[in-house]
Amino acid sequence: MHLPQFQYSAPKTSDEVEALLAEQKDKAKILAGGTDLIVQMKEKAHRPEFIIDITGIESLSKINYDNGKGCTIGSATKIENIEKTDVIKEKYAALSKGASVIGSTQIRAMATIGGNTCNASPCADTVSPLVVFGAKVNITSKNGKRDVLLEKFIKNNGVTDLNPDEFVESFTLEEPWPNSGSAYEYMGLRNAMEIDMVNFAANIAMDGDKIKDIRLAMGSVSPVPLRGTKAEEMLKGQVPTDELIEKAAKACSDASIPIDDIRASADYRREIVGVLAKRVIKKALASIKK
Amino acid sequence: MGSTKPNFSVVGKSLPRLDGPAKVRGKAEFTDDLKMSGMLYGSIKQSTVGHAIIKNINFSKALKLPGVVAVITGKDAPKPFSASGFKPTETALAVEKVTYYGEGVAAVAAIDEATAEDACELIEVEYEELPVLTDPEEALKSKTQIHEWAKNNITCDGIQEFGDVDDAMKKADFIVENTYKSSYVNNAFLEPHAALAHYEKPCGKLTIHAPNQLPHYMQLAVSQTMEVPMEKVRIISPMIGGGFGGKTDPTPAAVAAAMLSRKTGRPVKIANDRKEVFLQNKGRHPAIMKIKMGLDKEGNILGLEFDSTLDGGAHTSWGLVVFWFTAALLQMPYKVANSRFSGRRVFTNKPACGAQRGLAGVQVKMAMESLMDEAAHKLGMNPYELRKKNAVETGYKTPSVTVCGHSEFKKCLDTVVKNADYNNKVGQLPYGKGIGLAGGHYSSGGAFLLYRSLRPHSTANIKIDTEAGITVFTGATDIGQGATTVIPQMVAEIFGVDYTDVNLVIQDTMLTPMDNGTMDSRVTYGAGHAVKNAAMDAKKKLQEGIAPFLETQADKVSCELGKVCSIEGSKKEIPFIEAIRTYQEKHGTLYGEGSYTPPQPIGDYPGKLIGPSPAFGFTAQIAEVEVDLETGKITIPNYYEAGDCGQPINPMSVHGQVEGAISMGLGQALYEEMIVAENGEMMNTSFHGYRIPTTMDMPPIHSEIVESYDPGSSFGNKEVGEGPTCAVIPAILNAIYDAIGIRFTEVPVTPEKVLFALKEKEAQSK
Amino acid sequence: MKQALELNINGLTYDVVVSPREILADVLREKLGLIGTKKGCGQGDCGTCTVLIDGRPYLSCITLALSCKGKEILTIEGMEKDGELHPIQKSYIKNGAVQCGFCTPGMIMSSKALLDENPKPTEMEIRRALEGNLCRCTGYTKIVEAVQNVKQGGKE
Repeated sequence: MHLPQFQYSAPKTSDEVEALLAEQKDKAKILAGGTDLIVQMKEKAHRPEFIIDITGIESLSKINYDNGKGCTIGSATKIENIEKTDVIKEKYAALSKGASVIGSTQIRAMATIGGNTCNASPCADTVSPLVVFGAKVNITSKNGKRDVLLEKFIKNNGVTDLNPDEFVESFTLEEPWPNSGSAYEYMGLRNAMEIDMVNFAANIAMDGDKIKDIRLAMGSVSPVPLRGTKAEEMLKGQVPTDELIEKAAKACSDASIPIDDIRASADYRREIVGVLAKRVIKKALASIKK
Repeated sequence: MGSTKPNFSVVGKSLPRLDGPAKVRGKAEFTDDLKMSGMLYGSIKQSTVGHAIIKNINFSKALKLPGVVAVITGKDAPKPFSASGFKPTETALAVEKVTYYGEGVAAVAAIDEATAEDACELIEVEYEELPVLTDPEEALKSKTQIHEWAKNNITCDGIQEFGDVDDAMKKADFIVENTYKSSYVNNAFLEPHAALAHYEKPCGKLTIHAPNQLPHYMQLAVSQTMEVPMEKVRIISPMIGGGFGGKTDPTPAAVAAAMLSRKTGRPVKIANDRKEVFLQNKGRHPAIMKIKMGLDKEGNILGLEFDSTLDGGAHTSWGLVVFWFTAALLQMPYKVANSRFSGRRVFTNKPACGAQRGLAGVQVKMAMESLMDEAAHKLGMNPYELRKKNAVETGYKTPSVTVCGHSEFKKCLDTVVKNADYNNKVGQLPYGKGIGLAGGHYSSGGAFLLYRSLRPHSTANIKIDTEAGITVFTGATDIGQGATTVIPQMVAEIFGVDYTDVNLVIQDTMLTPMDNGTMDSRVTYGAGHAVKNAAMDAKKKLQEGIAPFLETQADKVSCELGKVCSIEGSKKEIPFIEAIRTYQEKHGTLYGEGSYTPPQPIGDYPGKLIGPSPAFGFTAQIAEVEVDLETGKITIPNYYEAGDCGQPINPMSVHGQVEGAISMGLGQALYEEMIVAENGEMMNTSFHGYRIPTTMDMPPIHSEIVESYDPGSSFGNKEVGEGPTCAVIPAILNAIYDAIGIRFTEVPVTPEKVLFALKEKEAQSK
Repeated sequence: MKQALELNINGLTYDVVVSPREILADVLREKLGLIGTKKGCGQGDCGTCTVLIDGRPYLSCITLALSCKGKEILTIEGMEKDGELHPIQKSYIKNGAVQCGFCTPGMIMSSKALLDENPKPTEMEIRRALEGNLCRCTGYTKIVEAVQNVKQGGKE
């Protein structure tokens, strides 16, 4: 299994990437960790003529937390750094957890957050956590910069909002809500090296005994990341009793639109959305520091 | 235990593997690590249809690609081959017809692998598609015939019957019956198949380096398909990166490499990628098994009926052997006086099935050991008591007149039950937690091995001189199980030397004497006998030659602690190598030879050649399970095993075999399955699609080797490599039943199947 | 377009000429004769091709050779010192962690990456660090034991 022929460039700055993309447009593909792209190219699913390797661009692999303003994560940041960085573990636990269950130790050492999201796979482990932290995708090109909410950025299975001359520089996560907690879980067949059948993330803020703010997101149950909007509405402003959580979980399950594939049936996925929703909501609530 | 067990000094020790240093340093050379001067690289063009007549192959564009040297098609070697030799159907590249999706249709030799692959993309194949058969029961009824000679797509069928089953069933107080379906799984060894072939036109000699468990079988098969005299074919197996039965048949890639080498006159290497391994390696046969057992009130098994439909995939491979071995394995480890086996092995348009660790046993035990638990529940008996009541003992003679020379099966049951505290747990754990027991047995090499079987199954030579010390020549192969350590341990035991002082020449049909190779758990037993005989032959010559020098008689000369000494009279002693020097000055190099032929099968019944064995190993296993009642996910917190492998030659290696066997069984029970679409295309040809257990999935394994010694064996040793694989699935299925009261009859038991079964049970109880 | 490339492997600098499509595993094996790095799947799923790049475990079968410019690569051949085995290598032999040996080099490289960061790992930490290294022979029991029993966490 060999790669098709292509040209290769490893620019040192974002500007160079912009220039190369302006020239090559859809003939080019951005290479970050390569754990998805190289495998897909070996299988001849992609035959880009030009590869732009962004792993050498230092500015793209930084995690910057600005107290009170949120966190910006460079698109070429390694998954293992997201998993292990203290500020992510403390303030964005769901994201750290999501990063920690991607592929294997080696995959996490190689893969990047930009790759995990731009691959636009419904089962990506960082997407649901990013969504519950209201992540924005910071996009750049020679023609300027723009940002778009991650949940709008992924358009379909394997399709993003990126124009051929654009690339993702970073992600900006909101400052965690006061008095909030987050959690993430996935369902796989084995206990490692799994492609998720379903995943689920929750971010919840409390005000006294009532839920003040909440975001729920699920993966692998629709071509795009899915918010549990109805469940959020049910829970917001309410005391999260077991009964209510159960109902919200059911609402998530009803909202999911999974498919049958070789990993699981749609029916099973729908069931598991409900189970994970319940577990993750409770876990997020339990993690809120009293 | 056997009263004749000697005190061993090297045998029975957990000594580190002799190939360990090369392997941990990355110096061990596997086939794809080899290079030859002038070597070309080959690649195979795969079919993109499941069943079709090949109308035309156009490779003119491929030939024009710079760097391409030759292109071949099936016509270049159209004679079918297989290791078993029974009705072969497979050729290196499809001739006239494609029988499964991914079958090779042409091959390219080029200056590098990437160019060869690029060239394959330029080959155009025109097909006339035929109906694709993926279900064996439909294939039996279909008008479409995959191979011309196979009516109703049957490779082979038959009935094997002992006693009077119908009468036994009439007399039975209890009847239990069920249908079990085992799954379509792959050996999934880590080293992909590869081959480096060199046909030397000027002398007509063909040498193939390939990881093959049975080099002497491969030699014959290659000679037949390539139409090169056997003595001109040399097979060398470099280091073998796992086999498990999947490296018994010569691969299409190996033969295609030979064809390309013959065409170009240059060495050609073909290394399969993982997808090709899934498609062309031959794993375990899925089986649909209808089983029925009659028992009396006390729990004695009176009769057993077993019907099996084996899905063979597109080619014959070991189909006949798997078929009749299924029948043979019904005869133990429980006493069954009346039995009827019936079955058929069926062709379908899928990657072919062949041999995989625990061949036939995994399927049989899945059904039999599950049904034993069903019987115990029906009788209200403890499943352990039921097994123990019917367990075979030393000297048991099956109705097929196979003698069980030695059995500690009851001890295995007792030990594992004690270690897992089974009797205090079974039926008593909280809902969602369970414990399950299963037994198993396996042969230590067949009595008859299809062809070239009237000659000794193993021959070994030994050469001892001051130039190289002790060198053993054996055709046995080490596929990772540790033959290259246990054989030197045996020889060292006999000569009283360090096992690191024993050199081995193995895995080369020219340098070593004929051996039936690594299959059927026969090496330590069969090749072990031959090696011991060769060593004893050399020792006798040494004793006779050195006795005058030690001023004693030959039978008073002993080899121990690195010395050769007189144990009576003079009490003289000299270092071993000095004794050899002394011998050599007078007699020249010291040689010994030995061979082993197992007792021939007796009796007269269909399929009698397959199954009888000179010795049987036994295992008893217990799985603990926990079921997540909301998701259906199963975890195994602990796994227990107690095994009778006779005298372990290297206990550390024995535990390693058991642990590996359990991981393969666990994978098939919970995760693994090759998924084939209706058009015949396999959907999960990767390790992320086909999921074998990882470090995170394997439980702590508590294995114990029970005290045992088989006096009929060279060092008291018996089988251990395969039997332990067979009991895993039923141990887990029985534990799941204990946890949630649901009897699963199909594997893998995925979370989805568990959850929906739980929901169905809940709905029924309402 | 082929390009000249300097690769720093096991402390030595190698000059190679590679085409962009060439992956690190092939360059190590075919061009430099460093055959200890194995190719078990070519898809990043089995871990037999694991090498350390700047100390982290990488799958060399899905790593472009050109992307390794300026980085320190450690392969299994670089584990021993003047013919003396590394403590991890010794422990694998002693604890029976080696069977067919095909997964062994990659497994040892992942073990090294773990022990360099965490000299006294728990059993669960070992299992997690090795989750991307498949082995079909051992059931992992003795591999985990071997890593647990490495003397002084592999510090020389």
